[in-house]
Amino acid sequence: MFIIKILDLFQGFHTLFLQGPTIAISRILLIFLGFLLVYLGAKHILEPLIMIPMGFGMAAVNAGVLILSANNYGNLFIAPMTQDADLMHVMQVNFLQPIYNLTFSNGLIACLVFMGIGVICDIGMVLSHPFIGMFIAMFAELGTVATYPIARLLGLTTGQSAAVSVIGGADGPMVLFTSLTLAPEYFVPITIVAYLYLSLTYGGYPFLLRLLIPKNLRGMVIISKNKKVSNIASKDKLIFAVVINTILCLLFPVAAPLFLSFFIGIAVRESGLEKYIRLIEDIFLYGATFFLGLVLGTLCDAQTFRDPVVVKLLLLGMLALLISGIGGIIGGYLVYFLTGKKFNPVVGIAGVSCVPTTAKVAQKEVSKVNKMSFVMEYALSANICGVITTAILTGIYISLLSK
Amino acid sequence: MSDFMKDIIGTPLTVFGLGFAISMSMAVIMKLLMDVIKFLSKESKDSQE
Repeated sequence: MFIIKILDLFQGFHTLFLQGPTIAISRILLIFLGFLLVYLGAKHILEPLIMIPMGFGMAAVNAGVLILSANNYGNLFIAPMTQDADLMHVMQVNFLQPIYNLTFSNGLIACLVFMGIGVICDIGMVLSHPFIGMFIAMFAELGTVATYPIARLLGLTTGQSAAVSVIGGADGPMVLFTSLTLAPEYFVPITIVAYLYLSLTYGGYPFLLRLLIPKNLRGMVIISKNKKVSNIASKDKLIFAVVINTILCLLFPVAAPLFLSFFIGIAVRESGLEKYIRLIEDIFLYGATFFLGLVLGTLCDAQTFRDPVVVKLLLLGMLALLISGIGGIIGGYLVYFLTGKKFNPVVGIAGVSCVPTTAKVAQKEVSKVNKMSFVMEYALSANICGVITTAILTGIYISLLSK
Repeated sequence: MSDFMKDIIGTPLTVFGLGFAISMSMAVIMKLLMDVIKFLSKESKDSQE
């Protein structure tokens, strides 16, 4: 009797015994996974900006389970996809609920991150090499399209298949936006899988490059004939941002919030509005990234990961990024042959739009073989084009499949 | 051909085909924009002189 009273006092422990062994073991495993993510984030093996808040959230939500009412267990962090509850009541009870309701369920957080990406991207790289950048970026979307039929064959719905395929575009906010629109029932595992794997690209893609591109080609020097990036005026970049944004919004109104967020970030950067630049980069981008990690972590309760579909999502996410990496390298090789063997195919990997990680991976691998070879300008062009092509493909998927 | 087969073959092809066409069109627009801007700035410089 006394023990039961003590357990009532410490409900996190008590619910471990009440919920059954499977849930209890899953909760303990997820707590340790949370610890692991924090550790790997702190060691910079995984992306610390996302992984540290995510790991904390994951550990806390699986520890802090309490009895809400008879046979009803929950937490005071968040209640995802709440349908019937009174909004104000829910927002006052669960402390992360306002963030979730006002920024996650409508995709705002993805747009804020995307705005920040716009501010840190120099579109001059794209304007210097538009054809090469776009060509490579499209090949680096191979995973985004090739994963779709595999996902359908594994039994996922059209929306779920499209959402998990977008992981191949290697753009976290885009995956979040697509899964919220097309597969809201699996947006938590899909987004977490995406961010976990995106963090691993820095470690995994160099092996893919070494496997598929011989050493003599990896060290190749690209001789540029194009206009130098520094010569492209801010005014030109601003005009480009306004025109391309308008065209893309005309073509895909369903993905217009994403286009607007990205291109307004570019417009703010190129207009030199220092106060806005600081606001978007320091507050919007880092604030949204912090809450993205924390809220995703707190959404990782044991129930979410008991669904067998999650195993399929884990496999498909990895496959999407692998195929995209291979596709990017194929794109790099095609440009190499089309330019009469005057192009370094390593740049292809940068078409996978994990800004700026894959561009850094490309330059790092090239520098290891030849310290005098600089491919960063081309790599960043392919990288930023990758963001644009992923947004285009997301827009097509949503337009085709949303009801 | 069943709807399922149409979906697993048709959807990826449509997405990639449309995506490729739009992306390359974007590249053409970028090139044209750059040329127009270059031409206009040259014209205005000439008229000022």
